[in-house]
Parts: sequence; C-alpha cells; structure tokens
Amino acid sequence: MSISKKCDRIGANVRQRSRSVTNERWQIASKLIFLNVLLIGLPTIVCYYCLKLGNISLKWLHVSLVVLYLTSAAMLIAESTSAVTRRFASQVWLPLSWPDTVKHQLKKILGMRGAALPAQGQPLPRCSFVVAAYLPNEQSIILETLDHLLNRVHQPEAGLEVILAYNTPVALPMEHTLTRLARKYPNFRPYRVEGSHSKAENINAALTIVTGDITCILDADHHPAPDCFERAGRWIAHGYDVVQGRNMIRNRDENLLTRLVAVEFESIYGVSHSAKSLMVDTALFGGSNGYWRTSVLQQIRFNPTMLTEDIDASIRTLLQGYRIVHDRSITVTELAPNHISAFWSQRKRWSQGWLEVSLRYQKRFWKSPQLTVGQKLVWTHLLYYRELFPLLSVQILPIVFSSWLLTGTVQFTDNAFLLLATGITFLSSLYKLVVTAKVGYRHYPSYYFVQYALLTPFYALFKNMIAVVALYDHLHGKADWVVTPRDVAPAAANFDNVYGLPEAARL
Amino acid sequence: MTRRFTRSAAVQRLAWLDGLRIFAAVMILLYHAQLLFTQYRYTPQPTGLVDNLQQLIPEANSLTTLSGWIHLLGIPTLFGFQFVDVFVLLSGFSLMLTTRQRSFDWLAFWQKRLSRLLWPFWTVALLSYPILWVVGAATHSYIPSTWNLFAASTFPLLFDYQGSLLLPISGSWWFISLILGFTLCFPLLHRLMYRWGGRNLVAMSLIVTLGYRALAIYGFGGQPIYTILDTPNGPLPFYVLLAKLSTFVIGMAVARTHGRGVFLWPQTKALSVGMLVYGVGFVCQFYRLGWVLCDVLMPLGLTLLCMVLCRWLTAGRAGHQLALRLGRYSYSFFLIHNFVVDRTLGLMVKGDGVTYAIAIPLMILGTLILAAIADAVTPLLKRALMRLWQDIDYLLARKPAVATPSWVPSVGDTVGYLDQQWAVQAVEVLLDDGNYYLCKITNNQQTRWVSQEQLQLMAPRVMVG
Repeated sequence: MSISKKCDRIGANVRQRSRSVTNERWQIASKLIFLNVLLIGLPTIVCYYCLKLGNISLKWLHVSLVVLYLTSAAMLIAESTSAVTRRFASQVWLPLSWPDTVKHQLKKILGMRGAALPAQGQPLPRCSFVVAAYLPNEQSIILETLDHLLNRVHQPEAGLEVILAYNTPVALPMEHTLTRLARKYPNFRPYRVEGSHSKAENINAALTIVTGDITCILDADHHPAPDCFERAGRWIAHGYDVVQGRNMIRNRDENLLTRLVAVEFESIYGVSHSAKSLMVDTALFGGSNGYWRTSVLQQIRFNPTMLTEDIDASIRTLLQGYRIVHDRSITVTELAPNHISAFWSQRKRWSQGWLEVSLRYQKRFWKSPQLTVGQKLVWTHLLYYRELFPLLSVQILPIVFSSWLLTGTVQFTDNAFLLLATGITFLSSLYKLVVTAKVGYRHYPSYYFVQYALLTPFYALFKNMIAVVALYDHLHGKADWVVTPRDVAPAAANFDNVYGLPEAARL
Repeated sequence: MTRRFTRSAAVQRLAWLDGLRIFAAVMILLYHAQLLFTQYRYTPQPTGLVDNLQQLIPEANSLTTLSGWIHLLGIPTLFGFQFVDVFVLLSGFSLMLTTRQRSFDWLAFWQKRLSRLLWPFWTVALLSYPILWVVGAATHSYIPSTWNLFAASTFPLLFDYQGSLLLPISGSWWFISLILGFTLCFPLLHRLMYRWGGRNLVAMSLIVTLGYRALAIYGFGGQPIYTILDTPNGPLPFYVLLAKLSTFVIGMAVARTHGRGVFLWPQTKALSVGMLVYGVGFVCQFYRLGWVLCDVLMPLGLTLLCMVLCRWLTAGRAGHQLALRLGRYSYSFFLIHNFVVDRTLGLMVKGDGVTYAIAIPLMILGTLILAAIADAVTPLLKRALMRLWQDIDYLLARKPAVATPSWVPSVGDTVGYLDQQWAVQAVEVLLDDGNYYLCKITNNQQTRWVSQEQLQLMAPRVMVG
C-alpha cells in the first residue's frame, strides 16, 4: 500500500472517530435538553399556572421538598457526627494523657467511643492480591503497581501472592515483561483470561487459582498501604467476611477535577462509608481495596452482566448474612479521571450501575431477615432514596422559576419553611465538609476543601445531570460498559508523598 | 460491551410501508385541520357526484382571496379520512407479515401486540393531560375532565367499542377500540387464513362486511363516520369491527403473498388498477347504496396508489432512511395530532387564512416532535411501572419466590435467546438465594453473558460416551 493511501485511510479513520465523538456529544446534549424540559420546564409551566389561577396550592410540593431536604440533612449530620466522634482504630493500648483520658471517658459515657481496633489474635494467614486489568488501557501503570505490591506491602509469614488477572484483545510486548517478572518473583502470577471482556470475568477466573485465605481485590492503578493485610486480617479474625478500606486519590495535584474528586472520595470513604459501619454495622465493597475471606468470595463471585459488579457482590454478600466492615485506616491510593469525558463515562457507569442494583435489590433488603431495621434504613437511603434525590431535589427550580415568571421576583419570604430547610441542608453539607477536612487534613491542603466548598453547587449539578442521563439510558435499556480511559503518566511523586506518612497515623 | 441487541434481518422494516404509514398519518392530520378550519363546510353527502362536486369547488370569485385558494387547494385533504381505512388494511398486512408461519403462539402475540398498542397510548394519555391542562388554564379554553383521563390511562378497563370516554380527550381515539378489536380477532383470522385459504377467507369476509354495512345503513339507521347527517343511530353502527373486517382481511391476504402477486405488478398496472378501484369507490361514497361498497374499495385503490408512490420515493437512499426514521413515529403521530390541530386552530389560527397556511407545516413538525418525545418516554414509563409492579408483588407475596432454575445450564447446551439460537460457552455460578447461573452464550457473531432465566433450553449438550 502506498504512503498516500495509508494517509488517506488514517485521515478517514480520524474523521470517522471525530464524527462519532460529535455524534455522541450531540446525543448527550439532546438527552440533557429533553430531560431538563421534562423535569424542570414542564413542572415550571404547571406551577406557574397553578399560581396564576390561584385556586391550586403548591403547598404539597413545598412540604415534600422540605421533607426531602431535611431527610438528607439529617443523614448528613448523623454520618458526619458519627465519623468525627467515633473511630475503629483507636489505639487504646497506648498510654493516654489525662485530657485524652477524660475525653475518652466522656465519649464512653455518651456512647460515642466507638469500637477499638481488634487485637491481632493469631498469625496472619496466607494472603493474595488479585489485580484486575485491561492491559491495552493500563499497561503504562501496571508495572508501578506490581512493583509496589511485590516490594512495599508487608508479607505475612504464611506468604503473599500477587495475581494479575488481565484481558487483552491482542498480544502485547508487555506480556513478555510480565513473564520475566514472574521468573524474578515466584509469588507473582500473571494470568491472561482468554475471552474475557470485563473486570468481573478476570476476577472470577483468578478465583479458580487463588491460594490465599484472604484475598484483596485491586484495580491496576491501586497502591494499598504496606500494612493493609495486618489491619484487615484482624477484622476477618473477629468474624467479618469482608473489610473495605479507604480509597484516596494519588494524582490529586493534577488539575481542578482531580482535586474535587480527591475531596469527594475523602468525604465518601473517610466519612460516609465509615459512618455507616460505625452507626449500623453495614458497609459495602467498593470494587477495590476490599479484603475478602476467600471462601466467601469464591461463593459470591462477580456478575459480569452488572455495570457495578462490586456493589452487586456487596449486596449479595449482605443478603446471605455475611458481614462487611469499613475501616478507614486501611488506605489505598488510586488515579482519578483527569478529564471531563473520562469522568463522565466513569460516573455514568457508576450511576447506572447503582440504579441497576437499586431496582434489583431494594425490595430484598426490605424483606431480608439478615438485616436490622437500621441497616434496612441505611440501604434504602443508599439505593432508592439516592436514585430519586436528583429527580426530586431539582423541583425547587420550578417553584423558584414559576414564582419569578409570575411576579418578576423570587419571593423567598413566601416559602420561609422551604428556605429554612434549604438552609439547613446547605449547612449540613458544610458540616460534612468540615468533618471531611478534619478526617483528611493530613493528606490534603486546606485550600482543597475551600475550593470544593465553593464549587460544590456546580459539581453537584454536573453529577446530577449524569445521574439523570444514566436513569434515562437505563430505562431505555442502553447499558454500554465504557472503559475509563487512562490518560496518565506514572505518578511517582504523589505516591511518595502519601506513603511517606507514618503508617499508624493514617486514620 | 453492549447489551442492546438488534434483531436479525427477519424483522427488517419495509421502507415503503413505513413511508406510507407516516404519509397516512399526515393526511389524517391535514383532514382534521381542514375540517376544523372550514368549520365542517363540506363532508361527503349521499346526494350524488355532481352535487358533491358543486359543493366542493369554490366559486370563481372566491379565488381572489387566500381563503378561497385554501379551500380549493385543501379539497384533497377533505378526503383524508380515507387513510383511516388504509391504516386498517396496513394493520392486517403488517400483522400477517410478521406471523406468516402456519402456527404461532397467540398468547405471546397478544402480549406483544397489545403492549405495542397500549403503552404508547397510555404514555400519550398521561403526558398530554398536564399539557392540555396548562393550555386550557392559560387560554381559558377546554380542559378534559379527570374522569376521561382515568378512562384513557387505564384503557381498556372502561372499554366501549366506540371509545366514547376517550373522545373528550381526542376525537380520533375511537380508532383505538377498533384496532384493539382487530388485534383480539387476529389469531382466529390467522387460523382461518390457513384453514380456509386466503381466497375463501377474503370472500367470506367480503360477504360479512358488505352484508353488515347494508344492514347498518338500511336496518340500523347508520351512516359512515365521516358523513354528517341526521340518521337515527348516526355513525355508531360503523364503529363496529364488522364494518371494516374485509379491509383488514384483504391486508392479511396480500401479506401472505408478499414477494409475489401484487408486489410484482409493473408500476403502470398497479397505478391503473389502483386508480380504477379508487375511482369507483370514490364515486360510491356519494350514494347511499354506494356506502355499502365505498369503504371496501377506496382503501384498496388508495393503498395501491400510495404503495407505488412510496416505493418510488424510497428507492433512493435518502428517501429510504427518511421513511424508516419517520415511519416509526406514525402511531404516536396519529395519537397526538388531534391535540395539536385542535389547539393550534382554536388558539392561534382563529380562522385567519395566512396564519393557517403558516401553521400547517408547523403543526406537522410539532406533532412529529411530540411523537418522538412520546416514543422516547414510552419505554421509560413501561419499565418504571413494570418495576413498581414487581416490587409490590415481591413485598406483598407471603413467600417471596426463590427462583429455582428449571434446568441447570452446562457448556455446550443449545439455547434460545431473543428469537435466536445460541450455544452456551461458559457457565458461572454465583451465590444469590441459592445458585444463580450466568451463561456466556455465542451465536458465532457475538458473545454475551446472560442470566439463565432469560434463556430457553433448546437442546441439552450431547454427552459422548
């Protein structure tokens, strides 16, 4: 083939890709327009005429929104208070100063002291890491991860194995490197899963060869703390079946988006998930940095038809009566999407996946004999309530817009109780951010939190839009599994910063 | 990995058929618009051809005004009602085309067909109400009652053959009862088509239809739906399925010969036969005796003429694509058009000729956009309500059913999925209230993971040795 023909073909491919991207963007834009018309435009018109005619009251809408906002606020306050006043990993065997002793006694009286980190009773059993990877996408980062797992993570006396379960449509030069690495490290097993198209298939295949009693699932970009198995092993020795750790963002300095994601992750893993475990003893497996009793994981396995196979596995685990705990002292660092399109595809998949599991499992939570009332309430908040919130919370906009259309101004004094509820919700969000800052201040500069506070309305709105589009796509039966693109160079500098901290201090 | 699945070529859409559907729907819109704009100045009367032509053609001096020209140019649209019968014929044709095999699962057919008819209908009924309420409230004009909304959104709970509870929402929704009736009768007609043969069934249906129409006119004191007269029972006898049975059956019989017979006629023959049949039917409608025959002949001729036209228009790639794209909205277009016409003419046009001329393309476009929105919302509503029902059922059931698989899949099984044959390539067993089986299936073109519940075992793996 001549060079000019090759150039023509490359040019045609580029044009086709460009057309496809434009088409995709147009589809997203049209969905957003359609959904905004449906969710905001149409209710605005109805509210306007309700107000104009004067004989139809909007009180019911106001009251519903107040209930919705206050429920959210109550949950935020409960979670934040619990996360800031209680912790699992309090090291009670250390000598305490007298103010700390008084503080601990006071907390004990108030029932806020929290559980202590279980003591290590028996030697740690053999442990395994299963790293799932889609290699064409992640070959630039996988070696750094393997190096970390093989050289920096503490090895139990019974042994530690690292299985890289990967899929690739074509043979890659990287695979020779992996073979050489396996020769150097006998506890490293690269495992190409033939015919696999998903993380779930990779992990399921790895579960047939795993030899450890505790298995940690990781993604290709995840670097766990060196003492992760020691910490997780204690919970498993005390009857828990899964231990979920805290995920932190390694490339947080890269841009504004990664900074926002870093604080958001801190808020989710450091506060929300942690608090759920402390309040009602329930948690979920977040897809990585999860430490499973291998025998349980081999029964549960992962469902490749689900968009969020991790949440699906968590729920099936809980519904079978197994227990999951969240310990925020077990940290892992990962890479956040560093551009909007990657963020969009990741979050849309998450949103749609959560919706998928909500629709599938919510009713089973309500009827399950394995869960307490508190756990059922928390899971209702996590599933149906969380799905409905983006749709219902925006209904404040039709109220505001219709009032503005009618009078030319927004009469907040007419909606005092709605305004109050909005204020309480806003303040509860701020409270949660302060708690997040308290929990994560060692890892992130304070201006991250200020920036997050200022940008939260826009960030939340953007995530709301993604959630609504995900709902639309799901109801239309469109469930594309879009791989989150990795547009990164290995982030060794950040990596050093995080792991330079004293291990026991990362709480 | 995508889970959306496109059906095989077995159910490929015919572009000319889709084009004809949307063309028919637009003609019905134009008919209602013209009728409202001219304030029912003309409807076919049984007073003879000459008298009707005299009524139709405006006086020469009126052509100095825009209104006169609109009346003149709008004459063909005054016969747009004929496309309702074209829809009946196309309905028989389409149903037979998709079920041409001798035996078919009529329960599955009813489920699929009723779902296809009723979900868009319920969506339009539910979505239209807040809009109609707002329009009515804003303009102090007509707002349908909530009783009628209830009747529409629960249809056919309050079924009556003339759709009287639906008419206050949309005047053209009487047709839904009729088409539902044909859906219910279709399995019997399908069986008779193979048992008696196409010719015998057509002959029998013609006898029944013509006999009934004669009885409806002379015995029951009825008149065709599009005619405004003061007969004892008005159009009621003509809402009955029997009045249009032969048209539906002829559509079925033609579909059975798909790929031969009329489909292979040269264009000139199709045109000349179509014009002749249509011409006779057209003249018949101006005579009381002709009412017996006109609605049998006109849709035949009209469909033949439109088939030639649509085949010609969709011969090119652009026309082909356009017809396929627009044709899918024809049903929702039909359901919505009357709201748009009624409100546009009542609130915007208000008898002004220029505004009417401008409003016509806007009404067509607006209806098309609303139809596209309704079609986008329909699957959402369907899934949401189905899910709600499943949740309620699960919560209220005294013993929630733990799905016990009827068969345990194994590698090598042949299974049915989405009307296709697949082979099981791998099986994954998950823990979820017992064993939950997932199968990796392949049809040599694609591979996918599917829950065992969604598969039908066609042939178990043959054990060797």
